[in-house]
Amino acid sequence: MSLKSSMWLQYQIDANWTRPLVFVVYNILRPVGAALLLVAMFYVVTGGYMGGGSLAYLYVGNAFFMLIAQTLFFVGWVVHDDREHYQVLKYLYISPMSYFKYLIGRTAMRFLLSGFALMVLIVLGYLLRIPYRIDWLLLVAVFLVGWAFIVGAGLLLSGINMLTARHGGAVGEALAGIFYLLSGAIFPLSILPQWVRGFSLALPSTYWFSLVRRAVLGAESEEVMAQFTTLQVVLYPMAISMVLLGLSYLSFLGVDHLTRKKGMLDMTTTY
Amino acid sequence: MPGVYSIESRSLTRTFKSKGEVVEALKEVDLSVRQGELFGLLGPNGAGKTTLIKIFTTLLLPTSGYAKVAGHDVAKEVKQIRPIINMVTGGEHSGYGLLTVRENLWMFSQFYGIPGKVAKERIDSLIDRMRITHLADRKIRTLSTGERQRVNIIRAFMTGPKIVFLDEPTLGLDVETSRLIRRYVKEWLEQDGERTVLLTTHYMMEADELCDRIAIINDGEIVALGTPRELKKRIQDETAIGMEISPEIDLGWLDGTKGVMGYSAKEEGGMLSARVVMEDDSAVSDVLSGVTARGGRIISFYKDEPTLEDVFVKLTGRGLE
Amino acid sequence: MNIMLNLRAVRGRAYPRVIGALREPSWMLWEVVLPMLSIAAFIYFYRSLNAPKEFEGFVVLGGVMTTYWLNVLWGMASQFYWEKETGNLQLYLAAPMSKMSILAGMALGGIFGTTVRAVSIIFIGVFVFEISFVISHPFLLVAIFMVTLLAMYGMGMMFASLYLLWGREAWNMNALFQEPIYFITGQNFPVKALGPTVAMAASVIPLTLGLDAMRQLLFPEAAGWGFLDPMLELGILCVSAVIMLVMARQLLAFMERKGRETGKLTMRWQ
Repeated sequence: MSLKSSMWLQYQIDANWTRPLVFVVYNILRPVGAALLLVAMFYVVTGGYMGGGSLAYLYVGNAFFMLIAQTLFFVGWVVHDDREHYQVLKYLYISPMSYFKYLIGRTAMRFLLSGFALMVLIVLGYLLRIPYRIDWLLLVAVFLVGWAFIVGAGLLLSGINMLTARHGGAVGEALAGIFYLLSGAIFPLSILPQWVRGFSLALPSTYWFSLVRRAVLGAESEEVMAQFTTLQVVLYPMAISMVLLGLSYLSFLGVDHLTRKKGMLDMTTTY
Repeated sequence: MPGVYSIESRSLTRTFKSKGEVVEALKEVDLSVRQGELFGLLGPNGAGKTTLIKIFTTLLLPTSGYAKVAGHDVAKEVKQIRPIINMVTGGEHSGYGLLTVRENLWMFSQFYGIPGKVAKERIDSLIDRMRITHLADRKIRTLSTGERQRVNIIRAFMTGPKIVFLDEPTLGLDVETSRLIRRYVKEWLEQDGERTVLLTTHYMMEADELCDRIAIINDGEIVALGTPRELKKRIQDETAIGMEISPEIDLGWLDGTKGVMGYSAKEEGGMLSARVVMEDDSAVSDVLSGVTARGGRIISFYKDEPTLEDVFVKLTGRGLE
Repeated sequence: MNIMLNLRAVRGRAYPRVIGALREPSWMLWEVVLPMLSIAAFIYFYRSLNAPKEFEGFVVLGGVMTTYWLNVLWGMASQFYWEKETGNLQLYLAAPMSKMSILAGMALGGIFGTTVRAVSIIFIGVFVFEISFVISHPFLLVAIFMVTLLAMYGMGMMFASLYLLWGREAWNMNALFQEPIYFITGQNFPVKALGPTVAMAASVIPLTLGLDAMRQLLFPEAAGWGFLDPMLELGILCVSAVIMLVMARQLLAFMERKGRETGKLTMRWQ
């Protein structure tokens, strides 16, 4: 199965339960709900004042975080869905294609589909008077780098999922939570305790969010990340993502061996 | 329940609608199963056996006609029926993978309100009877297909049902497990005259060996009903031959051969094993010469005692498997 | 109705929830440790805006109650659909107990697992983020918490039948019932901020009034942000719980009848 076929399959599985319009609405409501939650929190604290750098910072960070959240939420589910719901994991495994490549394809399509929600959030941002200053070239870099690290992280998670039981839908969201907390997505890194910032700077997402702000708001207002040049915030996450992809591939090989050794390819763990 | 059939249906019809198409899964089925009987429904895949079982087990409503279990209407009296029935399906994957065999069985026993101590005793006794004592504390997800089906049998019988529905219970199982299950079902029936079993299968040997009476079902219709002996008697005037042919050839031409009522064929060890039912001996030479003319070499040829499969072939023109 | 039969059925279905959750060690990681992350993110978010300390408490309370909401969605609402897909549903349907006892068993077992997670969130809130709660009306607080859970799980029972009828939309409905619901129920902020009309409409979801009442009781300094009086909210929640449970029962009967008519309850991937 080619990358294109697995992307197509992802779209079919994701969208074939309903009409395309309803599908788009479903995909949009969740991210819009998350954005409104944050905006409401902001509104309550500022006593109704809706503006300033903080609002732009949190709104844009949160909007782009949806790409991570929606993709990882799906990735947290796909292995268990293949294994226990449709019970096709074993058949996919014995087919000549690589399951690793298959997951890349499905994750990539999920990433693309999440783009709809992002577009809607960006448009909604105009209503909140978010001062956009879009650098289109950097925006392209945002998507390329973003895709690389989200797929890398997603594949790592899929490897883990092959060894674990099905625990509902929280798995991918939980991993997304790491990025949400530590990457300066909705608040500056300087708010985090000093010792945590070290972890933050090791995450590709931290640089990615900085890149997002430079691409969408025209500058980096976050003190810690402002010390890095734009080239650095492109290259660092790209390099880390490559390492992540390599690691996920290596871990996948290990997991592949373990699942076959322990006979976990067709286990059902529902409770 | 004197005078009442354990399982009964009259003019039972069930249709399914899918994308504007109406499929008639059961057509005017009349069935009467007596208390103490082991009644078999023999038919190929898609004949309507599972639909019938689903109706009797209260999972599906009839489209028209009625079905009764222990004298109770399946459409209206589910509360009276459910405590006294249970079911096993072939290839079933019930239960929760993270629980052990014993825990899964205990859980299901609770859905029938069996007190803990009684449930434990019954589970232990049946685990022993099904020869899976060594698996009792293993997680169910680690069991093989055959081991799992033994657990399913325990699940159904431990609740003390009066009527058990077995839907292809030995599907895909090894000889030993199949034999164990058949023997148990037979013994269980013999222990109490008020018990009844309805078994569906497409294994004619199983039906022949186990069942007191058999209904042959094809395309949603009961095409014959009787004891295995009665059914086989139906073709005593006909001729059944068996042959092994090499290499494999297409036997479709038999459909239009004069005197041939039907045939079944399956591939076995690179050869074609075929059974042909004919009106009388006169068609034998045409069949043999037809095979040879089409490039088939007849490795062995024998005239056989009629089997249930031959009955089926005669009635439907095709084989069971 | 055979009470012993149904009590045993409740116990039987709760058992795998409790044992299953404890038996698989990966559960601790996914269910306890990692969900803390979003709670921490919201707390730091409030800190970045110099919000009063009680707002951080709102986040912890919201996090605690949301764990139950997530369990309602993933462990209750979508569970019958999942049981159908794994082949258990037909055995449940053919068994003599009330199907409500199966749902009650799932709820009780689910509440057990979720409570472990909720307590760990409170511990992190108190010891890591130094949130202080004022417990001046313990009985009222417990009553509101319990009734909120009852109404929420009642809602989950209702959804269980609806999801089954909606088929594959189940997963999508769950996604839809997360962030948008967090927003309109005021997960991390006082629901009063949304205005009386929206807050009133959001009160259909028991989480809204439960959160609002508990917020007022645990953080008296923010009482001005209360939407309705906690006693009134308790009353509404009681009525809501009864309505949810009655509707759940009705829908369950409807779902079962519909399923028997169409034959789709016992077919996988439909």
